[in-house]
Amino acid sequence: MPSHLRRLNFAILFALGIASPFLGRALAVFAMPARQQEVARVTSPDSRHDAVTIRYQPLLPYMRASVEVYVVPRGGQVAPSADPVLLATRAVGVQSTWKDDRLLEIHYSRARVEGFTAIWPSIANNPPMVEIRLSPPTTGFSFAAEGDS
Amino acid sequence: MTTEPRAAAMAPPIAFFTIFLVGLLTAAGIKAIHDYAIDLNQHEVARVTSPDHQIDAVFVQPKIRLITGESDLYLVPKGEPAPSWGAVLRITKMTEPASVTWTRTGMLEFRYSRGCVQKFSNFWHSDDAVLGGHYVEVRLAPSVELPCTGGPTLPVMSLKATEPSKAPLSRLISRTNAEGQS
Repeated sequence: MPSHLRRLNFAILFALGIASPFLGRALAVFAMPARQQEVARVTSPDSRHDAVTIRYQPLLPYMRASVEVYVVPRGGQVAPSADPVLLATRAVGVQSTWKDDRLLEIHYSRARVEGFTAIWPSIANNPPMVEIRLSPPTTGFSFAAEGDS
Repeated sequence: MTTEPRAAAMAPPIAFFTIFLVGLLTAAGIKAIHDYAIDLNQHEVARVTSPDHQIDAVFVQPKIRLITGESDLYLVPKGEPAPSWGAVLRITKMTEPASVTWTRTGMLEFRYSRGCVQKFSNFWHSDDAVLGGHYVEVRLAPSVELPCTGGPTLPVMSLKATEPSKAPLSRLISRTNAEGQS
C-alpha cells in the first residue's frame, strides 16, 4: 500500500476512534425502530409557534416508550435533528398549554423527565423566543418512588 | 525514516485496529481531562441535607466561566463531593438569589426568579448499596413567569406546591451567576 494512502487510512481510523463514542450514541438513536405518532399540536395565541407532542413507541421490547414535546414554527414539521424541550418516559397526562405568546406550560400527572430545557430555541447568547415551564401535580410524586422499575 | 519499514512490515489489520484503539483512547482521555477540568473549576455554594440525612443536594458554580458558564445542581450521598457529570439541573444567567429546599423526604424544590434552565431531569436515583436505592424527585419553582428573559411575578398561590417541612432543609443561594450583570 502506498505510504500516503496508509497515512490517510490511519488518520481516518484515528478520527473514527475518537468519534466512535458519539457515533455509537447517534446510531443507537437512529437505528432503533420506533413507531412515532403526533398526539397533540397546540398553537400559540399569536399563531407563531406550535407545541407538538410526539409519542414514541419502540418496537424493541426492552426499550421504554417516551413522550417528547417540541416547539416549531406554526404548521412546521419536527426536524429529525431537532431537540425536544421535554423528553419524558412513563409519562401520563402530558398536556401543553400556552399561557401567553411566549410561555408554554407543560402539565403532566406522571412523568420521569429525562430531559427538559426551559427555553426555545436553546442557543447560547440568543434570547429565547419561547420559555417553557413544567407543571407537575401539586400533591404527591410524579413518578412512583417505590417499585419503580 | 526509521518508522517506515516497521509500519510497512506490520500487518495492516493490526495496525489499523491499533490506530482505531488509539483514537478511542484519545477520546476517553479528552473526556477524562474535560471532567477533571470541570471538577477543578467548580466550587460548592450550597449543600442541603435531606430530612432522612441520606442525600445532599449540592449547588455548584464555576470558578472561571471560560471553561463552563453554568451552575449545576447535583444530588449525592451525604457528605460526598459533587461529581463533574450527572447534574439534575444546569442553569445559566442566574442574577437573583435562588433556594434549594427539601419539601419532604424524596422531594427537592429549586426556587428561582432569574435564570435559564438549560438541562433538567426531575429524578435522581442512587444505586448505592448503603443507601439502598433512593429516589428523589426534583421540582423547578420559578417565581416569575419568564425567568430567563424577565417577566411578571406569579401570584403567590401558584407557587405553593407543598408545605415545607422542618428547617433547616432549605438553603438560600446568593446570586451565583452574574453573567447578566457583567
